[in-house]
Amino acid sequence: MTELEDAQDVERTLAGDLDAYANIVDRWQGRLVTLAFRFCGDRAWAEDLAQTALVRAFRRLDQWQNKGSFSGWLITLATNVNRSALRAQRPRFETLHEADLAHGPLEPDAAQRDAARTVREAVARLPPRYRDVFVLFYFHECDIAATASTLGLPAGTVKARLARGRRILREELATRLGLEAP
Amino acid sequence: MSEQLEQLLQTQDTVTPSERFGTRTMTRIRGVDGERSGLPFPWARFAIGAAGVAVAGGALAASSGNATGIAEMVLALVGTALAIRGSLWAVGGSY
Repeated sequence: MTELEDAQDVERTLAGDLDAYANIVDRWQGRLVTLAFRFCGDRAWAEDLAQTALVRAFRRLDQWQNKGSFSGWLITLATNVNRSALRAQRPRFETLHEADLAHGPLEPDAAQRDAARTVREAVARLPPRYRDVFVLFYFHECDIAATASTLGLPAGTVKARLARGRRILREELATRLGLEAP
Repeated sequence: MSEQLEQLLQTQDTVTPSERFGTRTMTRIRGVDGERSGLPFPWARFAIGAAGVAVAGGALAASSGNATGIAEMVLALVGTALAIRGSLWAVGGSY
């Protein structure tokens, strides 16, 4: 996924070529559905949210116009869609079928997958100010600067919220995961 | 515990969208695009016409000394605008 491909497809889309936007949908669908799932915990809902983000991006495509990175613009837009949805409705967690998840190298066995899921659910239950920075920083692989930019916060605030959120998680997960108390 | 928690937080997995996600999304996009390309309300022409009517109404009212003439012109203008908007809506235009 490159910024150049995105920029070219945006340009073609604005010129009226909808197939170019299909390329953008194809490139971004996995990341946007995953991001939404991190917020809401429900696959069907996550697909609705990702679709809403892609439609909203299409409507506002002329507002991007190469101002900054397309990926940053799209992730910010999608994050706002997800946060708005969660202000109206609580997250709900479902157990995904194994086939729905593409596991990374840090999940060697089922026990660790369960533990990781427990952590994700605990993150989703954090107060929104902490949840949002955790979802972007850990699960969406943003660094401090990207997380701050996406949420429109100073970097220091992001660091402080990460630190406070970690303390809350340690307290909550100490018993549930059999980890040492903080 | 901090290290264990960090490791769990950094666990990476992705949710695979359903097969028809892309198709359904593009169907919605095409719908949005169709709405966009509807018949637009001719604001520029409307503004020119409105300005002309206002000038003519003002001149008429000034020459006849009839103050209600301006109000009648304004009402006629609003009525015309509503009629145009209504007819555009009826044929599926956007404004």
